[in-house]
Amino acid sequence: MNHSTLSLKGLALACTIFVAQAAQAGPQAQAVERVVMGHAIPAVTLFSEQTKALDIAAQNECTSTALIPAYNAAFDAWMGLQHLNIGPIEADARSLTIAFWPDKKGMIPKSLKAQIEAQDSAVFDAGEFAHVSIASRGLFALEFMLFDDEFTAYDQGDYSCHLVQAIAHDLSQTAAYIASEWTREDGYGTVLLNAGTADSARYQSEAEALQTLYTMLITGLENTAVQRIGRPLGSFEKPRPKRAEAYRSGRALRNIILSVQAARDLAVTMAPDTPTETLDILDDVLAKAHALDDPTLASVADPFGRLKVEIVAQRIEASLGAIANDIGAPLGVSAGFNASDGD
Amino acid sequence: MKRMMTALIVATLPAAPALAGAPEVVTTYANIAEAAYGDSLLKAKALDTAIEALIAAPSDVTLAAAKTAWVEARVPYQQTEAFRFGNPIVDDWEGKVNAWPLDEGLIDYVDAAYGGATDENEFAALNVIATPKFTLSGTEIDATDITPELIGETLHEADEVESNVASGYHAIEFLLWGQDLNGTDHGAGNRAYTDYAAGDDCTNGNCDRRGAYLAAASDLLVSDLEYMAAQWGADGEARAAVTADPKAGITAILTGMGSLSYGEQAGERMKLGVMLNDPEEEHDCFSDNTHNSHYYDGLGIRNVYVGEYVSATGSIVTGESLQDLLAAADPAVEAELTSAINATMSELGQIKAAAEAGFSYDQMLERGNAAGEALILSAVDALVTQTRSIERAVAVLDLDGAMIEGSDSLDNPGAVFE
Repeated sequence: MNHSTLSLKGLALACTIFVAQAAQAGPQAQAVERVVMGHAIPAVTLFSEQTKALDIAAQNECTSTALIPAYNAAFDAWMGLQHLNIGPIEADARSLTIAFWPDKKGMIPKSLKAQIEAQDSAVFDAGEFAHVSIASRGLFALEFMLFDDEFTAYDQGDYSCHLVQAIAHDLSQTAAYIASEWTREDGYGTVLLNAGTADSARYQSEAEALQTLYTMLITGLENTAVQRIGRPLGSFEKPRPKRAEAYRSGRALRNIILSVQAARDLAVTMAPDTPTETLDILDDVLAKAHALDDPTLASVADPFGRLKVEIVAQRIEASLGAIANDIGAPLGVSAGFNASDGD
Repeated sequence: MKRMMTALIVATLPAAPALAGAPEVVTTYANIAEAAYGDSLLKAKALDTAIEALIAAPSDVTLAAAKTAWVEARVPYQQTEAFRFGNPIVDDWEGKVNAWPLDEGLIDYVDAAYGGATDENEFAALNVIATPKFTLSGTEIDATDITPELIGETLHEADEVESNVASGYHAIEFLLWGQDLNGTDHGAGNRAYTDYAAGDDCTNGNCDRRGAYLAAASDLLVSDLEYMAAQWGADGEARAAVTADPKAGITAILTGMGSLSYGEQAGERMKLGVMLNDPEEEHDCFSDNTHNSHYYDGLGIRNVYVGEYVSATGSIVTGESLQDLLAAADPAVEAELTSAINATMSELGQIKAAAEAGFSYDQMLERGNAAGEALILSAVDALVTQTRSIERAVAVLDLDGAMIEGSDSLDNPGAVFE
């Protein structure tokens, strides 16, 4: 309840700033405003609402069958903002806390097992649970608890039930912090909208604020091509279907589609004019992805199946050139460094 | 596609201001690379000598000497990491020498708690030292003789799995220290010298094969570093790549600085470890030398910025720098970046100071250890702030077209500037 009041207040405030600046705002500032108001704030608000609903559902009935619909709704909402790995989402490693993937060393099941074996009391104290390893927190820990046979056999009142409740509550807390920090009076939305003024130490110019958002657009699509699709593809000799994101919950393809939809929405919102070439390609990506009809991406193990999946990744890569033409060039920005630049 | 995008972006920008001094700046950069890889080679040879002494006469003394040589060898090498992301010749090669993290059970015996094969890696517990013959991706492998070729060409990244790290500093580190079984308590790996002893004194079996593996991995490290040091010599390809086109060279410097600061060091190596509370997420997890690895990574970034490197023999390599170039283009951005880099060094220095006083990096990773978390995350924040200033430097020097795909654009620097 508290939280939704906060975000409404913040939204009204951001609107005030928007109006105040509109008279003199240049194309870069206008693009930032469109993205903040029309893309980011709705996404953080929805994610906060959906994780709150998941938390309430979990406290009420924690078994996997009962929770799966709320889990999927929360994960869907996350896909609408996971590409915005900046400001409140990047702070305190929240994006990693919400979605620790890829888990290259299999730490999630290891961490959950250790916690269950030790009956770790942190699950009874939200403050303490916030310090637990991210391997035992967020959407992917919950995925193991709700979908993996090794973990799902628990009943109301079992330790695992409390663990699921703690993860759901922690997730909803994190989402509430993100929404509040985006929308409050001195929040990140305000910082972006006031780029280049004394109210925004973070951004020395409108171009810097826009570059940050543009980098997220490019990086989001690259991550889907390289990670969400590239990891399960592996090589022709050695496909890796079990490296698909969220295959346990059958969300691997769904996450690809939702991430591309989110990027499409961001592109359209940011673009000064209809980004025709970008939309052509991204709509083609979405059509081809839907046509795969393979929720877990298991088809990467089949020579013909993998070709179709590979084409989706190639088309996503191709969209980056279109985005540079349709959006980057007219707005005078290019991508900066991103968190995926390491190994 | 990259070519088209870049051409288009560059076309929309005003004509680039001449980068006065750029040829001298990239020459300094190449000179620092030559010196730092040269030092890495020198120290790897000293390590190799110490390893030969350990295998010839295993004792607490020879094992300790080899460990000391390893720690010293890391000092120049970590300072070269600033050359990685901007230079494809380095980036394509570095996995041979510094791949991390590793599933060390591929190489040697591990504790029962380590577990076996995983979803990601069916060879996570292969234990080559105890297994002279095995099947890898359908091929019979004869590992009776453990050679540099076997390690480099067959075992390293076996089965296309990145964490099958068979070569480089961290494989050698594991063979010298062994697993660190202290969790987030103080203490490093504690391998006994008798793991290399002959006959009945041999502990944990296969001491001769363990010695053969260590010797071969050490030889391979030396030859890999010989290759890279030569790339930066007078006729080296890596030197030519940055000096032939100084603007591409300047881009390489900034790309390396930004990608190492942000995605690699702040993200993958520091933030992830503290969020997982996992001591295996330490960069130098067997030796507990992580505080130094982070510190010298940071110093390497500073070296290429200020155009100065202090060599392993104390001599100084210096010349016209990126800092000079930036000061001429925009003194405010230069002042900001200089101050950001110095602030990072101060934060990394605090981690190093605490670790050397006995509060080791794995203790800092412990769940609920507020002091450790604050030390690490304030260094992460400093690295992120530094990256923003690097982006401003890119804008001031009008290199935007080159940055379209971050470090990826440097996979093919020729295409970028065509």
